[in-house]
Amino acid sequence: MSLVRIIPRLDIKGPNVVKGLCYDGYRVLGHPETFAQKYYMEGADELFFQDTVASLYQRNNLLEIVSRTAEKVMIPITVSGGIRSLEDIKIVLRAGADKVAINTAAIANPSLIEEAAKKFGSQCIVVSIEAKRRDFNTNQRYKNYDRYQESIFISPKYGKYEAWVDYGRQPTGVDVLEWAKQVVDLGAGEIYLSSVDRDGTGEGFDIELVSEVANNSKVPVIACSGAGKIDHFKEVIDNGADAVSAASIFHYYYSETVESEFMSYNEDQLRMGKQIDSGNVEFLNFGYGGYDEIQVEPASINEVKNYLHESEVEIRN
Amino acid sequence: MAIKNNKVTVIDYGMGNLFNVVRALESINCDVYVTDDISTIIKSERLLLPGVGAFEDGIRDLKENNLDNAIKEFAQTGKPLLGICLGMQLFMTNSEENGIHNGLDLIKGKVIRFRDPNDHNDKYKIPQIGWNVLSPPNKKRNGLGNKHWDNSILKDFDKKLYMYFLHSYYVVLEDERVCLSETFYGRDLFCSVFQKNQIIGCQFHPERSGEQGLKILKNFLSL
Repeated sequence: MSLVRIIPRLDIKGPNVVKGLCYDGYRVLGHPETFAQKYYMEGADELFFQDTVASLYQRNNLLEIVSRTAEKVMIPITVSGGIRSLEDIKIVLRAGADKVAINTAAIANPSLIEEAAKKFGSQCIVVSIEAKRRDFNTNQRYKNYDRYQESIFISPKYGKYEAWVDYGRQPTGVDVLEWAKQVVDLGAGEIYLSSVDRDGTGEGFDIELVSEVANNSKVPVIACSGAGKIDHFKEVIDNGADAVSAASIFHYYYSETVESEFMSYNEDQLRMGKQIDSGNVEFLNFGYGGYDEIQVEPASINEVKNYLHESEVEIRN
Repeated sequence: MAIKNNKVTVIDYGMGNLFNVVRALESINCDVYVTDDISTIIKSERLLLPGVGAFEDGIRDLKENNLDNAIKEFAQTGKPLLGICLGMQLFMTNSEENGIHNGLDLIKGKVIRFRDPNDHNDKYKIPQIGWNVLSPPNKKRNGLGNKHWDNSILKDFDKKLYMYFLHSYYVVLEDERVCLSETFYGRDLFCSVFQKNQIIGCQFHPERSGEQGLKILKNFLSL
């Protein structure tokens, strides 16, 4: 048995850490360096940086953040978002990342995983999978899938979970379980598995999803999305997760609530606006879909680790 | 022991990510030289061979640039030489990663792969990715326990040592007396640190192992 890792996830937009719900709507929380430093000191085992705008612009900004963080934070950092080529990987590693996570470009061109693993070693190539439960009532969406299936050769119609790309914005028709097997054969060193449905909800991990992927994977699977209270960590580890990643539960513990509707944020204090600041604001602030407030019970990294330790989960403490 | 000087030469031979090793060394105020120049390497105060990736590629890249001989020549000076992860493995006689490949043979022994899990109840995966514990070696096997940590790269540690590992292969020593620490993973107990005179190998990544990892690098400076 290996030690289970706890990996805080920082979703980054421009200069800020943001947190949304189901990959939409962003609450601006503070600066990534401030969070990263705090999490490092508190005993995080690794950090995961997710660029939310897929680096279509502001790439240099992200690289600066990574670089400044890596100077002070002596634990492994994985960077995800907008990585499309071997050259991109090199640039991100050079900036200070230890690993890169690839989603969109890997699905569009699976051989990128193979080439990247060969060039940089499997140990630094993580494949990120954004899984969403299939909604069989909206089959209409499937009409655009051809370009993905050509490269993947997987039947799109049957699996329970579908891989999404572009930070939870685009369905692909690709079956998550099949894809998870394929990426390991191509040389992925780890799988970072998140759930578009559970992201930010605090409802708990999608146990069925994690368990199916993790128990059929030869490489470690990092489970993400849904941690809302301490018990959720134990539950997902018991069901096969090799490492656990979480955002809101930690972010909200270390942030202070402020009354503000800022669209951006530029001070060192970590904060938690009452309103969600950007993205699909109406959807989030006014309750469409029922998610109109934070449903997590914030916890520190220490509390999570102590709880796991007492529950006889092997961790670094 | 006080730090004698703070110069470290890091060998750049194209294997993986040197940036974080360099950054970690700079954070403890080292003068870091990253180079593939043979005469610089031979004349170094202390030498660090980092590296991630496959053994075969690593030894080939060293040989293509004649760095293998430079490292061997440096080793004869008796100055401190540290190999990290693949760097440690390259010090060995040979490796069975993707066929048998000869290494630098500075330390007698071989590099082998973790055994696969026995069955579904064995819940570990290969590679090992994550934190694990360093323990003094079994006294029965090397006759020393942790007594010989005193003047080694593991000196002055008083509590449980967690380090960050990332590997599928590990070293098996011919002479277990040079083993400084052991680590258990899956079904295998393996040597996670060795030190023979001033030739040191660490299977984990001290540069990514928090404050304790930095302390190992500081110890390297004071050897």
